[in-house]
Amino acid sequence: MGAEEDNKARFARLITPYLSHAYRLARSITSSPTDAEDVVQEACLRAFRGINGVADANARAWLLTIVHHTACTWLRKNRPAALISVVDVAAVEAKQAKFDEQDADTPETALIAKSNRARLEAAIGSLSLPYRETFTLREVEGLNYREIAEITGVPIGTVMSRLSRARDQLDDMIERKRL
Amino acid sequence: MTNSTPSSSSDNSIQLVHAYMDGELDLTAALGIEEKIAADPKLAAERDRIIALREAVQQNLPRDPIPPTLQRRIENTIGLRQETSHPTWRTLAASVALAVLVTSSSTWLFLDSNAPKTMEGAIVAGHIRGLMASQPTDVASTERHTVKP
Repeated sequence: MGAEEDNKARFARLITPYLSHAYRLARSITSSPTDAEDVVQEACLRAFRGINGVADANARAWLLTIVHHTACTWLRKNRPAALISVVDVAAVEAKQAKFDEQDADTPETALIAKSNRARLEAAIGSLSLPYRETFTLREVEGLNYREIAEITGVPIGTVMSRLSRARDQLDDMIERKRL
Repeated sequence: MTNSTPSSSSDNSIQLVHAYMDGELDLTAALGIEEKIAADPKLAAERDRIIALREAVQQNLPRDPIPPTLQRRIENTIGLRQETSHPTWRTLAASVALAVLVTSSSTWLFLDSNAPKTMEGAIVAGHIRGLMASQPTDVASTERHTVKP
């Protein structure tokens, strides 16, 4: 009983403050608010079971790592088509072309900084999963390369190249809209 | 390591611009890339694109909080809600009413239990009262008299 109470208090102290971060990452990976809710709930259960193994200073990265694994498992099971490989350039380009077609009739709006939320979300959503996730962890959650590498399980060099390509592709998409 | 071509060298510099903009370079490397940016318009354009994209994200992509319903569901599943739930005014009112009821009932019971209910009780109570007086018996007398030695 006492140990269980300790775990609850520990979860409330270490994990609850980062639930929004977990939700945003899950939404970025699954591209769906509803699916993200399922993923976060499952990830929180896993986090609760392993709450004794986390260091206080590392709680956010630890939780996001669990969310990453839970979301990938969830996608593999429920939407395997969403797991497009990085090298599958044709598929990525097809998704981006779809993004271009989505609002081809939209009047051109000025600068990148003026891009509205829906367009930006659609552009980010059209990136392949590794790029989308890396970009979100860096630009939305503000994590450094080492933390991103730890969460996604890839070397820092890969994080750098993914981030660079994600930005290039986003920039191209937004630029194409502007021309 | 592969042979360094102009293209791969340029790619490397571009990645370093990204790392620089993300605050990932140490001072020496940062100064080095700043010099390259100053000398190469292509790298300067890359830096500007990163800044513009970052501004677009910050301005148009708010950091949404977790939906409250999801947070409640998680806290219920983990069992945190009971510990953090706050009493409603109905609960408070019910608690006050219960406290008043219990207090008044116990007071009444206490007073009632002290009252003699039978003849035996009355006799004992009278006896105790008699023992409390300075004389064992009270003699009714209106005469005044002086006791002389």
